[in-house]
Amino acid sequence: MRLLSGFVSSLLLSGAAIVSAASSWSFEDATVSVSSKGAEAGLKDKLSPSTVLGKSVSLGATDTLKLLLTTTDGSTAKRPHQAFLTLTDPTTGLEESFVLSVKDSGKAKVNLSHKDLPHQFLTSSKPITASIVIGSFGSSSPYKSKLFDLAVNRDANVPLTIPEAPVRYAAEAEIHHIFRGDPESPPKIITIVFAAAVAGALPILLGVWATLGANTSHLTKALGNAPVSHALFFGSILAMEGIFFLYYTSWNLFQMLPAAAVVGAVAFLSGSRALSEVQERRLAGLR
Amino acid sequence: MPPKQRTGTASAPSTSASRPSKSSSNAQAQDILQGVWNKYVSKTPQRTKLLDTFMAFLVAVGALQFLYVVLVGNFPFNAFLSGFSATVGQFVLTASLRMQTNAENKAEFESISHERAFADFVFGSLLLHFFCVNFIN
Repeated sequence: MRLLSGFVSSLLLSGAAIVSAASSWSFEDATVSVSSKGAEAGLKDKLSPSTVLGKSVSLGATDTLKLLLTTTDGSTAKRPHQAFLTLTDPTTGLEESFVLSVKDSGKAKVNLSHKDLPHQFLTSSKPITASIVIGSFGSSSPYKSKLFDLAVNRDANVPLTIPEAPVRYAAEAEIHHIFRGDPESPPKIITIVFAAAVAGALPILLGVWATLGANTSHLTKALGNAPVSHALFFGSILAMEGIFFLYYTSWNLFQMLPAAAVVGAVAFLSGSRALSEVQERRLAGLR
Repeated sequence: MPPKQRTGTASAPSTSASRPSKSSSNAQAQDILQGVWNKYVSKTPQRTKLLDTFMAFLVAVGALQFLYVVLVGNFPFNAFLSGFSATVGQFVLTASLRMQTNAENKAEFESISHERAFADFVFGSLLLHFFCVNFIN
């Protein structure tokens, strides 16, 4: 019994040991080289998964950086789901990742030149951190570690094309609008002149009427025939205009309407009487 | 206005027939106008002439208001509209009174006596004045 339990426990332990020896992604046979345009391939540097390269790799304006490696899962070379070369600016934290093209055998490569880099990397003052990121499905633990420093050498005389800043939606600058001023009345003197002209036209009209013979001679006869109706009619018209004047100056509509109704009724009744008297005189040929 | 035009066309042939020797058209036009004016003064009834002078007065007042607006702008616009429409409306009412009381139009206005036309004129004028005073506010 004790032997059996001891055997079972040792089996369990070994099983646990086997299970705990889970694989992790890594790489092997990694080299990084920088080659100029037209020239032969430059020096190749070997990279190790666990240590950072001692010197920084410099990339000139016409150079191409070539990274070759073989991704491994544990001890077998395999193709992971994702493999990147990630460049990180140490001062701003800006990152850009470049996908490694990996074959099924695990062999991966990527090429890099100035035209691939964001313009912020081209003007960075410190070398840029380059790291490899390998990840996949399954239980193998991923790999993310810094490998080397990339010093970007830029010819200072060549102008840098910085792309336009993208549109960022935020509050615009405050608008200080000056509203158009209120309209003003014209100068009083012009108004007075024109008002005087209009007021002066009235005596001219009365004068012309007088020269035409304004029928004032009929007044005595009309008053003789129907004094009350003529006086009431004329008076109610004057009173109506007076009501309008009061409405313009002080009264409101509800004070004015009853008064207008009363005066209107008076005008109607007296007017019909007065005008029928006028009609009698007209038909008699006296007008 | 129909009556005045009829009076005018009636006078034109008689004027040109009496002076055939004048060759310049300018003088002829002047003579025609003079003839129209003479005919108007002699043939038009006195009450119609009273209405005509009133209408000329209204035209003058309306023109003064319009000239004022052209000169200094129409700042209280409702004031201009009110005053101008008062003159225009009164002109229209007077013109209709003139039409209805003209002896030459008697056939068209048989049912409306001159006094009835005048009463309508007074009523319309009072309404017009009320709306204009209301609009000036």
